[in-house]
Amino acid sequence: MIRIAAVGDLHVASDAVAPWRDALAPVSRSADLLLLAGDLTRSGTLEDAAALVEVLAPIEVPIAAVLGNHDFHADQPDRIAALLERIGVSVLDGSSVIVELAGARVGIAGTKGFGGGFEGACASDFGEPEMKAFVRHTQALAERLESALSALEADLRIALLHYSPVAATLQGERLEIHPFLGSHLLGQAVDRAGADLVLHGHAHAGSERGTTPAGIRVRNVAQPVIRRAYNLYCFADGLGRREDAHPDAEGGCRS
Amino acid sequence: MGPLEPPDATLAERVRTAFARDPSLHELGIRVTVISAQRRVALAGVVATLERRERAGEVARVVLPGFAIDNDLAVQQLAAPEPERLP
Repeated sequence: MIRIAAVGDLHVASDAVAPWRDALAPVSRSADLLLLAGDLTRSGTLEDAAALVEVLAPIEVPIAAVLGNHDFHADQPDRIAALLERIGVSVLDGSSVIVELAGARVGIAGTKGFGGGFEGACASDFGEPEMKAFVRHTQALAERLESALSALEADLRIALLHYSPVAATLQGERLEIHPFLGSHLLGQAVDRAGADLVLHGHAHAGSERGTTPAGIRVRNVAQPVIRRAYNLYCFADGLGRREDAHPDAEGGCRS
Repeated sequence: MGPLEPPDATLAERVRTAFARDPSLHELGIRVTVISAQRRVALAGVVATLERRERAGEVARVVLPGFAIDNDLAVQQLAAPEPERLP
């Protein structure tokens, strides 16, 4: 059994340290790995990052994260990433990490991702430099995600994003803002590279479950969507055998 | 004749913009409904803390002075997870 805890859109600042620290404390017992799908901080300041470090430092399982748009707001994403790396968090930016769990290699490839919209209503790489820069930012991140995922030699491969790769998990959001919530280029990248699970956040009014066009499971773990401190995704040891899930007293997985 | 009062949707957008910009909030997901005829503004959605809920009310009050604030914002609940078993 491999138990993966995941949440995005924590928006931590100094005023929210205690509730998040308490809410994430069970992760060390009920999960093997914690994945964070961006918008870890409220404003992307170093003060927020210090608060986030207070939240995450006590957690005793491996943590991998991507940053989100909030984490970029103060123009210090690299310094936030460095603070997180210092406490052992793998901050993925078109890169990947492999964690050995229960004798299996779990690979996570991550990127913040970006917007642009979905099939039939996409931004085009055309016109003003600002428009081309917008689209090309997404293209570049999607390409890096595809490369990182493709290169992963793991028993279980997970794509970790902030922006959504599919419209399905945006259900509940206004259609007009879909181009600011994700891009089909990210979904195509995942489908070409292959993955067992895709996690993202960002879409607070979206819905949790969807799939890519090729049928890969997508889960929107934005906290306002899951309405929990984190969700727990449990993979059987055989990574292919389906078993029923039974939550234990702490909301963990058990066979 | 004085200038036309902006439509309710425009006033609501001003409040939303203020929420996004306010350093104590940086909230992009609060739903804002303005009813000028009643001088009321309603706030709905979820924020991380009680302090941010109160701050949202203060910011709305500054943007729309004289409006009553119906602050229906909820504070996020960080409950334990329900596991999903995947193949």
